Amino acid sequence: MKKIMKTLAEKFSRCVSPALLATILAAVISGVLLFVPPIHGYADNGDFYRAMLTNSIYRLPYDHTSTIDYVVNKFGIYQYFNENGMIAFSSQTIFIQIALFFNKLFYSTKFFDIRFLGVVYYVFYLGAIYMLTKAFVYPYRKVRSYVVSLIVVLVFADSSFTLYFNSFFAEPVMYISMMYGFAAIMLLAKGCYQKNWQMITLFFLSMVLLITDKSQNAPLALSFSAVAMGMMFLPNFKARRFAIMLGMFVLIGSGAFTYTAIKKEFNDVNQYQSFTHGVLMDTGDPSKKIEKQGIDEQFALLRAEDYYPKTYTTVKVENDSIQTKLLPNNGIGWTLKYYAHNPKQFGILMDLASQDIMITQVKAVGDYVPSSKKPSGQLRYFTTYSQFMGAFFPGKFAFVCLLIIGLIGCYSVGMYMDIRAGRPHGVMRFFLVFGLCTIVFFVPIIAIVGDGDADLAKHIFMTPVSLDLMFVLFISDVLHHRLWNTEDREEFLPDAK
Amino acid sequence: MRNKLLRTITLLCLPLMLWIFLTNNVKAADSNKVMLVYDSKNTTNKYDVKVDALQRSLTSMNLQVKTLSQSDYKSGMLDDKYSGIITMINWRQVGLTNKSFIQDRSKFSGVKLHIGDELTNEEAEQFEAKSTRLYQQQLILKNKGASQVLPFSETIDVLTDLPSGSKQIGTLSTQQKGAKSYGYGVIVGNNGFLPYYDSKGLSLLTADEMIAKLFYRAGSYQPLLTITDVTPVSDLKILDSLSKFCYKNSIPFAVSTTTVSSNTEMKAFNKFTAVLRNIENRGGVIFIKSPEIGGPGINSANDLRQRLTSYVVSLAKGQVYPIGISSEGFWNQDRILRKNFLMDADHWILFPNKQIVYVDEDDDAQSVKKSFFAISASSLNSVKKTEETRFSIPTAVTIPLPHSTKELTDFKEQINKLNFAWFDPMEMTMSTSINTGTSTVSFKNGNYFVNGKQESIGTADSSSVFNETIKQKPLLSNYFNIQGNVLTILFVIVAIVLIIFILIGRKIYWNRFNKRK
Repeated sequence: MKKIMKTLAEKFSRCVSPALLATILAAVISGVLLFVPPIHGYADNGDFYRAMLTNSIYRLPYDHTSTIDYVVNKFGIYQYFNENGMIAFSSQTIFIQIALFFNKLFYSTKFFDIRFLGVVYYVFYLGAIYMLTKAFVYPYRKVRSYVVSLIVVLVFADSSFTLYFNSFFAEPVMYISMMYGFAAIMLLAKGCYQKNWQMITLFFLSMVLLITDKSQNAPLALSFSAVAMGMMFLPNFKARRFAIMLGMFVLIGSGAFTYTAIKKEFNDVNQYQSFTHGVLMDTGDPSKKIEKQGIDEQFALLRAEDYYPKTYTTVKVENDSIQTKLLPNNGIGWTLKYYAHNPKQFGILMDLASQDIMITQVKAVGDYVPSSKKPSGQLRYFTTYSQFMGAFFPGKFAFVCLLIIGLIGCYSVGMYMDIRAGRPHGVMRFFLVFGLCTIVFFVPIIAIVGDGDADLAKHIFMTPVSLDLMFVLFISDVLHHRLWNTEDREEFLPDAK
Repeated sequence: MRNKLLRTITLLCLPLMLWIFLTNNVKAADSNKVMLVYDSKNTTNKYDVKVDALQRSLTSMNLQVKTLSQSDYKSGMLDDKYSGIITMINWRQVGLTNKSFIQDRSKFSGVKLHIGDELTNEEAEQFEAKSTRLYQQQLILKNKGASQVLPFSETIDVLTDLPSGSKQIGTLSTQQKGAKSYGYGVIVGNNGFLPYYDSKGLSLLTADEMIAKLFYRAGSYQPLLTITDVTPVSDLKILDSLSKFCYKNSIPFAVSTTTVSSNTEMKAFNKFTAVLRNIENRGGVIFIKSPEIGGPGINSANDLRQRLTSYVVSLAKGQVYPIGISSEGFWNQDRILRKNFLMDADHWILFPNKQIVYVDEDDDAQSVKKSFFAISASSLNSVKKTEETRFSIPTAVTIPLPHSTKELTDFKEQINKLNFAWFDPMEMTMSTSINTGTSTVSFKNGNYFVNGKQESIGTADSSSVFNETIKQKPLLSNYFNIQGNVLTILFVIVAIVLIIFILIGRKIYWNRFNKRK
């Protein structure tokens, strides 16, 4: 009996690798969610217009479904010259253009079906899942490897992430390219392929896509440069230094480009809201505090005002006082100085940011199409992981910091051992974890300093993704006993690699 | 006996008299309605500004104006509910094309006013005068000793050969030798004619005088000096020194300010109300300016209503009692904005439109006890002003709040130059009220009342306003401070003990291996 089981298992593992298993499961789970009618996705929170107008897509005028409550799957395509130009520079355009191409080829030149965009993301996403799982388990095929592949499905096929595919949000690009980048580094570290250049190219390509996807990603160029540093330790790779330096240069360049591509209006929006929704979000009376930092205390009365007021407001941003006395004086430098003088308030805001750090599902918009006959709301299908993490992850920034210290400490041991043993694995892994930790740490800070608590959950999207990647990495390393010793273990290896 | 009879008759007649009185009153209220029909708004040439100015002028005359484009006019709309009809031609090339309107108008028996070109033959007949077109002229408008050279006009229609009983308000004269002069505003019986209407300068004042006369509402009003563009984030020091200046020079004035509905517990808000309180103490009055509009839907009515309530209540808490509401003219042309904000006050200041955002436009303006027509001081530069100058409608002469001390100096100069005998709300027997449902703030003979109870205004010396420090320490803050320190010390001790244990434990652990070896 035992023997039969063993041979069966052997056969299974020979036919279906852990990576393939994860890919098939993810394909079925998210395929049902995205493409079996009635489909699901995220409704428009008011941000869609940037991606839509840039790509000549518009909302059909006779479509009167509530934008924020229900997902719309049919849009119009401009039949005339698009005078809007590029509203906001984004690499998301590439994906939308691919979707538009297939849409025009197979469906219509007048109408756009959001599912074409979903399919484009879906295909890239499945590739990412395959590579990611492989990166976690390679070179093993033991039962524990299959467990890891199941965890990958649980975490990364979570509907809170895949729902993004059927929407014009820019997050899918970040999500997918992050997975590719992570996988590329880990596969390089493990020496999975004979030649290194494919994976190095994949890494830099996906990172450039990620950085240029959204203006808020510009600072991440530094984090990814830290990750790229690990590649300097690769063996037998001629001209590596030069290539990697060039790659880092490209990364930082793309970050700088994304930063400069931000239009003045968006800058003003962020600056104004970082003040009204950040600096002024004091439980007490902020009048005195801002006066101390050299800004007229009267501006404290703007607390919780939006740049684009929803209904009525006391003063519009165009007001002379705001334009001449507030906006020229409260730049990033001032904001940092303010928080430096008021660390307590900053701590409270950071805790606020950390509170919902793991709630990845966009709660503000509906997930259903109107034809599903369901009340507007969020679905529960395959959201176990995000629900669990959302409920149980401690919402304190101090905890996040401790976690970071723990992870870095843990992986620096591996690095130390591998430097002595002359293996690249632990070193690259350390730099990867280090880079991700800087994302986890700095993204919430940048969000608070840059835009206050407005739209916070969407601004810190990269934090939960990075944390998830590190969690699964940690679990897989523990299961494969290579947290500190990265040497391949004979007892885990199958007969052939 | 005779006395008794008289008394019975009087008693019997009383209900009758009351009935007559009441019905008369209703009729009078009805007759406040006028209809304004324009051919086109002609927004490209900014004629919509003139439509707005005319609407506000009519509101100041206590007329309720219903505005229509001729394309929206349906036969029978102009009935006897209206006491007057105003035809406004803004775009000569368009002109009047709606036949049913022209028919209804000729049948209409009330007051008729024609503004602009394209006077029909039938209308000219009613004036018993001839319509003449002048070409390529730069005319001079004169009225009561004041004069203004008008911008060059390509064509302009005027009335000549006027009948004997006609009235002329202002004259237009040509600049050539042997200058001819024509009447600007012409009234013949119930019919009025204006060759053009402008939203500024002497033209406006003369036109308003003529319209007020035509509708039998001409009065004589001193202008109300009004400081505009005041917000809670404005430079309060300048506002304060401005009010001090007015007080010292015995200039009564009004301030039109927006305010906040939240964050009213902040020190910054206290400072704001303190400055407004100073204004009240220095002979100024406060008008609440309507908020700026973002993108509200028609279900924002409640939001707007609550905002006003909160404005009034929070200001009243700071002993600031607004006497009316000020807003841009279009608020009176919008169902939601008017009903949920403007109508709660019986005194308005209506400003020219800056940025129009309708929530639910109906162009069915209402009127209140008194509505000041706002005109910027700079637009009166070309008009001769004396202490005797009076306006035919309640008028607010507006000056925006200066932004710097330099501008403040300019402001003072400007005020001195204006040389009007300003309207003083404190001296006049003025009675106003704002009723927000939960509370009523009223003003009568210079005294303020909240829900009928007279309120006095505490003095806030300006020096104390700007150096005021509020130190509030929570009751238990010391306890928490100490508790925090105790906890920190405790943790440090625990950490030290743990480290010692680890060191000792490590030794023991290694020693075990050593022994085995």
